[in-house]
Amino acid sequence: MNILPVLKTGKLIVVYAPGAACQESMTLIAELGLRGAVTIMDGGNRYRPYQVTMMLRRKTVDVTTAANRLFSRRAFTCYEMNTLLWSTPPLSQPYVILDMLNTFYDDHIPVNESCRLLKSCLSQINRLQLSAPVVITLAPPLVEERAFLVEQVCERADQVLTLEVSSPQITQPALF
Amino acid sequence: MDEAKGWLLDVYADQDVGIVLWLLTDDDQRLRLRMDIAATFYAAGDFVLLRQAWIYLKDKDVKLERTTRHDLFLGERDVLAVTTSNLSNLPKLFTGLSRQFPALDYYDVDIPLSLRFIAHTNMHLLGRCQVMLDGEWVKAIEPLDSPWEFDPAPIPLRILTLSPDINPSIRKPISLRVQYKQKEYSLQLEPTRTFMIGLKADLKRLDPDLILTDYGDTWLFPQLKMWSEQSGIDLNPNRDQNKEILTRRADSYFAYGQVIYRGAQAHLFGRWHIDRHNAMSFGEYGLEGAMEQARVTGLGVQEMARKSPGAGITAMQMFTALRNNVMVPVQKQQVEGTKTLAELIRADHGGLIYQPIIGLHTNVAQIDFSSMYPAIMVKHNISPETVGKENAPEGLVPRTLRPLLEKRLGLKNILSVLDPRDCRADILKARAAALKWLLVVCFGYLGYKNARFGKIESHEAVTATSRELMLLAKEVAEDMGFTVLHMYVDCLFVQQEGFRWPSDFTPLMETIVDKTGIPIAMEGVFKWVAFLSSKRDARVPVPNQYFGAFQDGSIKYRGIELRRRDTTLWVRKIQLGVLEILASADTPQEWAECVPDVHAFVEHAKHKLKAGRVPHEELIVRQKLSRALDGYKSPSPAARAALQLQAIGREIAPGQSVQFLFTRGGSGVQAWELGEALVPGSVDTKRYCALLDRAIRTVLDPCKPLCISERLL
Amino acid sequence: MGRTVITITQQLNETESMLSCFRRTLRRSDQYIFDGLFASARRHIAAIGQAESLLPFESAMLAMLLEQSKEIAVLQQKLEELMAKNG
Repeated sequence: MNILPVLKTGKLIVVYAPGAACQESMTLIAELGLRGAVTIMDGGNRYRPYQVTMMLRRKTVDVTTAANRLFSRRAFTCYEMNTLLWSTPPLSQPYVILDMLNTFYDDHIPVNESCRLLKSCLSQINRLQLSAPVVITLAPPLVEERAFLVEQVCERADQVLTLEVSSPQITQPALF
Repeated sequence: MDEAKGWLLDVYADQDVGIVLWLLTDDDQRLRLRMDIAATFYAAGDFVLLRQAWIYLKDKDVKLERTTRHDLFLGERDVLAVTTSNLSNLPKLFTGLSRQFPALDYYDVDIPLSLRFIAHTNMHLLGRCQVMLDGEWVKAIEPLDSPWEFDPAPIPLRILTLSPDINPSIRKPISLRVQYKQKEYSLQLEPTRTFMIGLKADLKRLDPDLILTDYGDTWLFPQLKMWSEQSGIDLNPNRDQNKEILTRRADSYFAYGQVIYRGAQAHLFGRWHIDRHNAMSFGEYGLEGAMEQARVTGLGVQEMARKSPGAGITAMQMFTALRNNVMVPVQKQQVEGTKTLAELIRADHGGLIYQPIIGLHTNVAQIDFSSMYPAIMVKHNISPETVGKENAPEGLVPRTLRPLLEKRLGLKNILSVLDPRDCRADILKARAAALKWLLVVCFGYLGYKNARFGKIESHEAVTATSRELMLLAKEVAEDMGFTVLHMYVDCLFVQQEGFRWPSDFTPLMETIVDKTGIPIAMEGVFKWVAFLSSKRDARVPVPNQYFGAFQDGSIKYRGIELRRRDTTLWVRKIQLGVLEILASADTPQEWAECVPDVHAFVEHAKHKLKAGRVPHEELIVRQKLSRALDGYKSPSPAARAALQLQAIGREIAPGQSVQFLFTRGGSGVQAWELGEALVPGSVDTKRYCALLDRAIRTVLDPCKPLCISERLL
Repeated sequence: MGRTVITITQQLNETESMLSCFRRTLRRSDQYIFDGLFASARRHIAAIGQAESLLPFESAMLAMLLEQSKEIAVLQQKLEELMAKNG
């Protein structure tokens, strides 16, 4: 899945996949880091710094310079995700929000409160979109009754990329 | 005006106005008193919304005021202050307000009532006080002691113990054993009416301050309600007959990487109820420990007995905030600062954990930093609002921890010189253990997502400082000629040729304290200690598994089967027996000479098992269910046992433990709580012998030849 | 609570897994030595972590070299003792 070609300022891209497309999003972050600064907001403990550095190393010997262009913050509750977005300045560098809805599934947070916070988050994402492309990754919902939150995010997206996991097939080993 | 002196037992919201206090007086009376006290909470945010909130609250029988208050991170904020004397109505008031105005920031809403009371009066729970009374109304209250005293006057509690003749989850109990002071007798549960009349009479006659039960939360109190309806005998176990039992339902939740189960709870008013089977750390430090935690945290004894120490630390931080006019947010506002990838890798580390040198080592001292992380927080002023700031005033967290740390260290010092036969020893040990647990969790709460004042940077600052201090300690030891065999977060294992008595290591410890500024204590000198290798690859050391014998012959072990809750009692007993055989050795040569005795001991144990002479209770395996039963693709032994229980109508929730035995044939397990006798010869002795062999291999691991490096260098 | 970056131990395990095809192709006797390289690295997990390298495997390889150097030093010492003993 190559997300780079569809990234444009003003656009919101949502990637919906099992595991919130962890592997693909690390690849994206590494590719963006080779080109310039990136803002990463991790909402579901999906950021894999070592994996990113290994990917950078495959393409450049100057890993440090690229790594120093990757700016991240972590959110451990949906309130923190909201505060993160509100406190992020508009910059002309892409935003990657990893597993944005993970903390919204906490059953200690009432559903209507989750909705309110998501609405607030989406309003801030609209603001950030004006200065740079925004990519949000989402995993399948942890609880079925909150699946509508995924729909609310996808409705706002300019493009939704879905990654299905192919089931393992029995293949005959090659003879040569 | 009258006055009374005594101990403050309980505090809770009254029906309408103010609070109820229970005083245990010097002349052995139990007085129900009342006190006028108001609670204030605050709302901040958009001015237009605040104005609307004001209008909403105008007719809600509260006092409203516009004022300025201090937020720990945002500084002074314009707030709407809402004051009410009807404390029992506060939650409902807040729920209505926050539903109307969810975008506002709220503060001081869910402060426990007892903390508000303590902040208002300076009077701590379980403390001695003098009260000036006008009838039942407290007009003034004066504390006569402090929660930080090492040995406060003991409270002459009346304790009634109630326990069923059998675990109700196995079989229906027939009688209830009643213990009070030196007396003990049984009440037959049937006929129900007779039982209820008897129990009611006993409660009235004995008037206990504490009802200590087995299965009181999950069986007795729920049953009492049912029996009351059946028999027509109204039995209210509260001392305050105006109140109903406060019940909380059972819950499973995910925390710290595992599912945790919390049983239902029954709280009383005017007296305490503690269920020994549903109290978190009661087994470790008992009633004295729970009381000590209540004393220093400000949460009631019933709460602290059931809650994790984290709730206690949260309460202490809230109290410090209240006393220093800092608002306590309902929701944590602060988030992590931006980090580059390199900064994230650098910051996100835990404590320093060495890989030990595998094998058997002699004359090794274990020295531990005392309460290292809390000591670091206090000494280096690490608090969420001070981290990264030079010359900041003392932060909220160090201010909270300082007296706790001083008291714990003070108790440890007293215990180190106290004669073990002194009658105060056990009580002081329980208090020290209770305080230790509060200190242990305070670090975790610095970074905890739901901690009101948590901030990840302060968490990272503590671990960074701890790693630096451990490296300093290592350098000091090596400069003084010691070999550092192992380091684990806050302790070092050091050795030097010719050094074998604790006093030999004193100069080392003094130098480390001098260099690091953190107190350090000698755990002991092992005559031998074994550091173990990985079962997967014998060349790889395991940092958290070791065992050894001190100079006095006592044994210490970590990480091996003896310490694991899922190990059967039988395996634990045999493994301990093996360690006791090995503990008689003083040198590696003598250690090796013990091995044939070990083998003989183990063979004898296996023979007893195969002959059916091991009680089944000792073969019980206890494992937790990690998920709901329908979530298992191939059920684990615990899940298979839980399915057997489900078939007889018992539900096991995720996080709950299941007890079972391994059996031959069928599903390979039999749930212990089925209450069925095992078919003779059905115990899977082969499986149990395999478990035992694994445990014995662990302790004989040091016999294996060392690799070349360790042997010759 | 608080830590989200995988530990050095986990990172080393992942690197070892990535090299599983390499390992599989080796003879069984060579696989034992190969495993020994990672065992050597694991003895110095603390130092690899403290190095805070963006590419921890570089520090892990340094730890492997360190252990090899130690073994060589021990063998040299033993050889010298033997030679001294045999004149």
